[in-house]
Amino acid sequence: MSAAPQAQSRESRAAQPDALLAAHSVACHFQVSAGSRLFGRHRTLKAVDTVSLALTPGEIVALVGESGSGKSTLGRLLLGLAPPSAGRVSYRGEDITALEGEAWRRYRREVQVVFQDTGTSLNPRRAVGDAVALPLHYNLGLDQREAGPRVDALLDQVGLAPATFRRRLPHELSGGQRQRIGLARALASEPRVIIADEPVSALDVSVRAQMLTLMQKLAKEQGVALLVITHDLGVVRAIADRVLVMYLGRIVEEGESAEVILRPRHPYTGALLAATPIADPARRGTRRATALRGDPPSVTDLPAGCRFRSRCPQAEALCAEREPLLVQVSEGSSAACHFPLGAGT
Amino acid sequence: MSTLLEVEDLCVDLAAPDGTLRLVDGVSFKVAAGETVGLVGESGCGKSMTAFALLNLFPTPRLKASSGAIRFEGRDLMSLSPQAWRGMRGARLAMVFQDPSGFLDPLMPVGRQIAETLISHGRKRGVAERVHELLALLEMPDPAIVAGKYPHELSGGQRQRVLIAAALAMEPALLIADEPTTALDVTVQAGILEVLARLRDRLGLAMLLITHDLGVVAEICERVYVMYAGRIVETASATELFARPRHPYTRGLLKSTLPFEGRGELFSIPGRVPGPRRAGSGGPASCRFAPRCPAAQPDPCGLRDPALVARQGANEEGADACFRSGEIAGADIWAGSGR
Amino acid sequence: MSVETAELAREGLAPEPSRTADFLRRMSGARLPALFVLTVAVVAIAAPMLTGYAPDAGGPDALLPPLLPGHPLGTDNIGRDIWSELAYGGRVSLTVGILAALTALAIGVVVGAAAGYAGGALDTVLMRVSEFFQTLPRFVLALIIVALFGAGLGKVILVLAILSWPQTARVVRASVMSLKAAPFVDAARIGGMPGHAIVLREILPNALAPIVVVTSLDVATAILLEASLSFFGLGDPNLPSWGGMLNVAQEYLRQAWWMSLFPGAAIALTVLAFNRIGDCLNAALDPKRRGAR
Repeated sequence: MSAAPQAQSRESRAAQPDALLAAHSVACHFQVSAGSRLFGRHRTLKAVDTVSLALTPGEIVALVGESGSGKSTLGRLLLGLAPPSAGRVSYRGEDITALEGEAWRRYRREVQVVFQDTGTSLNPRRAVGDAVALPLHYNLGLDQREAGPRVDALLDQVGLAPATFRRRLPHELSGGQRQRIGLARALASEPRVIIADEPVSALDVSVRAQMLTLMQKLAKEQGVALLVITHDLGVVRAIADRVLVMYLGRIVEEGESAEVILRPRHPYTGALLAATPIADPARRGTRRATALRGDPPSVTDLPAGCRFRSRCPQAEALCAEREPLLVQVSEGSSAACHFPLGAGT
Repeated sequence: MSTLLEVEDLCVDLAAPDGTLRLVDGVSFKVAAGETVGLVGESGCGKSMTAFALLNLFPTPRLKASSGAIRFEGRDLMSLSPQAWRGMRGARLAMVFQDPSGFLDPLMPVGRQIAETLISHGRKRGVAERVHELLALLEMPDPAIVAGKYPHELSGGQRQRVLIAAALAMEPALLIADEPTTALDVTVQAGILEVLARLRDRLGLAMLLITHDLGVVAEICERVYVMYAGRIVETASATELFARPRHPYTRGLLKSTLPFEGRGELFSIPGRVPGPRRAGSGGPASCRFAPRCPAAQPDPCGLRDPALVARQGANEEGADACFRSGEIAGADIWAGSGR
Repeated sequence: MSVETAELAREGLAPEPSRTADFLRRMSGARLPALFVLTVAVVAIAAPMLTGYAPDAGGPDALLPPLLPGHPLGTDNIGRDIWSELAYGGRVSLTVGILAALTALAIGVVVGAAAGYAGGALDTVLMRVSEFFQTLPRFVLALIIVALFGAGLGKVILVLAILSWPQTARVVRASVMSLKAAPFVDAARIGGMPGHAIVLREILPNALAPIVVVTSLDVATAILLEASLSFFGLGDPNLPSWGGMLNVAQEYLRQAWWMSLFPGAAIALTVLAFNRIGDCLNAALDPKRRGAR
């Protein structure tokens, strides 16, 4: 099959009728100046470079990448916190920058976020109960009296005793407790889509499952569409239905999470898997084969051709000439590589 | 192998406005020359406090090592004078911390910062060569060029390598690493762990790795100590610990990890880590893990505080602090709980 | 409740302190300076009852040193009683200091918050305006105002406020700009909070620390600036002020040290007191210090 129809079918998936929140070939560019403002050269930092994805009800999608991959920027685009430099973000089929009045308020209500850094995502002067009540006041229009019991119910739902926690300030809570407050706040507006940025990385291993189970229930029992942004492939495997792997602003591999993790096609995905330590000494050193070389190139000075080739263990001449497109390489996955791993299997 | 570091019954106390809290409650462990030992635990277990105690580098004067002994190369560290400590730190015993950015002066090229370590310990000649040698040891490309760069010109992984290079400058016998890769991307982490493993082999470096990441421990540690609520609850060789954990907490911890193969169930240990107890109150009257333990019984778990007891066995050299660890070894104690 | 919430309730966090009692306790460092300012205010208000002479009444006994009967702090070059001048002068200095600082605060916060939050063209315009006011020579400004509106206390306060607000605006703008990017502001936006509410209830409360510092400094500056205005007759000629006393005392520095010592000490102590109160307020308002000593 040729590349073009596959690329189109991915784009059309973003346009499918039950997609709630979708990105259509979005890009996010920043102008950075090297040297003085007047005389220095201006470079474009392409934090996100032509990405498409779609979130459907009840589905858990994982967005995987390391620092500099653009995953958090993509999250901001989807949340309407920054306008895309190219392409568009749509909610229920409509471009979010064109939404007004009730349609906009609906988007604001139904698309919510759980932030990564709880130290800075909660107002240090506000009691956490008030932080949870904020969306109730503004997104749902409840008044003080009506919001009270709802806040208590939400705190209970995330496992925090309302009477004990309602009036605490953020710095009085542990990181795990703050993370749960963040989730309670996201749930307050009764969202249909939740974007969770590293929801469990600040939590102890022995308690991560609680948060993950809660998120699973939200998706499977209440039909919430979930986008989990993470660098932890174990989390992906535990709860995600689909996974998108990002590298320097582009999606390099996507597909069903089981398929991508057990049979990665893009060398970067392979490297991520190889690099993730496994809690089993018996398997030490079994995955060294796909180790990466060197450091990522500068984001303002991307090499021609495939942006991964400077670190790719199997780069060839073709890789420097042409940037590979994201094409289907197996039943359940697509990869952007001229020489996908395990090709032919 | 000779014992390089021996910690015996270490207690670390925090002076709080309403009394003294005991954050580390009688911890004992050893590191032999050339050995890589892991100290693993979650938040609130006291592992960072233990690390601070080893180098007497507490961030606040309210913290202090109140009792116990720390012996390094036979010398009692707790009785050292400040000058003796300065001679010791960085020379025989070195440490790297979690976030490299906080430990590098942003206004000085990194080569000079490594050189300062050498100079402050009395080395006068061949400093520049030694700096290049160290950077090459840490597998940095073009050491001469890297030495001239400022910290902000380097990536996170490179900064951590610079710090390790500075730590190894005087050829210490023991490197203590407190969460050395937690702040780094996973691919960068793999590189650092590999470099540490190679250094261990080349230099015969002993390492004490303090972390919460079981995967990291499994990757490079030979022996492991598991900490919970200020105590060591289990110790064994890495292979033994992961294959046959004994203490219910260790078992729960391993069960909470998320493997790639997928397991179908998400498990977490219910309840919370208890807060630190008051110093001088005569010790807890029951097992500290009992409230969360599925195998706990009123007698003896609710009546006495278990000590770390060595296991007798043919090939085993481990110990755990659980009265019932032998009894429950075969049973799946966590089945059905922890959602 | 789930097992876990029951356990959490039992385990408990540190007991919650009462907010007001806690705030007052943390302001306890400001007791002494607050008492001082209060004393000055009381003396100023009750001046007629506490002093024997009208402050501007000259007399035959010029340049008397202190501790003589009738004139506890001495007299100045035209026989005015220093103690009377000091007591009545407190009225002007305190009023001018506080009102000018508060007016500058009001203007500065509005301009700074608008510029910082809106950014873009509004920010540029407002900053150019504030720079204009910063570069105004104070006497030219005072002259213009006096020429247009006449002399008097109100005009003095106006002039001082106009001179001081740009600094406050800058500080507020910087705080607002950095807080604007904070995740909790994004969270408020996603929670549906409109822009003006975000500035008022999320951003500004977190920008208090530098504002408090700048304002307490403004009080000091205002008191001192009033002195120089008085020298040129651009202040209120009918009212005694500490600054005015200092200006008169300049020529008699060596002969009559008491003419400069007392008003100088009064200004210094008042300024110190306001600074100290400002510091304590900052510490007391810091949410992270709650419950700590």
